[in-house]
Amino acid sequence: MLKDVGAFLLAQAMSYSNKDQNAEAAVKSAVAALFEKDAIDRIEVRPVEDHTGEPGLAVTIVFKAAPREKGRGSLLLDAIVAASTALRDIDDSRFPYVTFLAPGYEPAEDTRPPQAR
Amino acid sequence: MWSVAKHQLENARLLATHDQGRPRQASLRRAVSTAYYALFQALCETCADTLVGWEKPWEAFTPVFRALDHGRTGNAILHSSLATRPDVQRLGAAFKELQAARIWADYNPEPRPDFQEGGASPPFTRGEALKLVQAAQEAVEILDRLDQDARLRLVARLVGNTKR
Repeated sequence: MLKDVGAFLLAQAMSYSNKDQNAEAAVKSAVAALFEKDAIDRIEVRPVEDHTGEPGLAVTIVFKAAPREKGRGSLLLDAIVAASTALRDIDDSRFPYVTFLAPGYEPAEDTRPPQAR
Repeated sequence: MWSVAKHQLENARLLATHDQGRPRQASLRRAVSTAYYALFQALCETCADTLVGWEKPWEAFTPVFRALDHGRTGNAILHSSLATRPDVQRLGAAFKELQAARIWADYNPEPRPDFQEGGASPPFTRGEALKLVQAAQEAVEILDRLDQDARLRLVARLVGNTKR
């Protein structure tokens, strides 16, 4: 009985892991296709629970240089829609929360008291 | 575009670009939150204008304006009968992304986990805040461009308390 439970949990863990790996590959491929080959330094994809408690994916796209908006369409929305579509194509309904990072994006000041830094 | 949404977008951009040098956290947090509210209130106004109309008394207009639920609006857009349309997909994507960012901006003192993971990083960058404002702007413009039929189907989905 315990063996069965263990086997079930292992299979479930492996299946989740495969799901995450497939999602990561799908999102990376879809997002990379949107930008010029050398524009992206790396793309990080990890499973998260969003603010509503639903499973989601945090997708961080780190650019080598800040991407410029082209016309009226938002690049951020291009990336989210491309990632969502890629996920839907592999039957993954998680929402991809996308963050752009680039040199020159100017982080805000650190507001913690000095002794906490 | 409803003037309140337009002016909120202007305010959000102003907040994100106001500080010289390293931006204040308060400025970027308010910029992100204001961009979200520009879109949320544009959706509220679209519902009230479509179903009631500005020329009707407040007692008819205001309850519909206030009928939208923050929690279910994003999924309601993405699971509506219009969700196969690319423009509506972009609208829903913008709403979900902005809502998550706004909740972080308004309630969470921690650094954004996406930014230099494990480091003591501040919550938002100016670049990220501006990207979110741009996304909100595009989403409000999409809403403005919907034809009457699409608008009616969308607002019925947003105001009605229906399951998928």
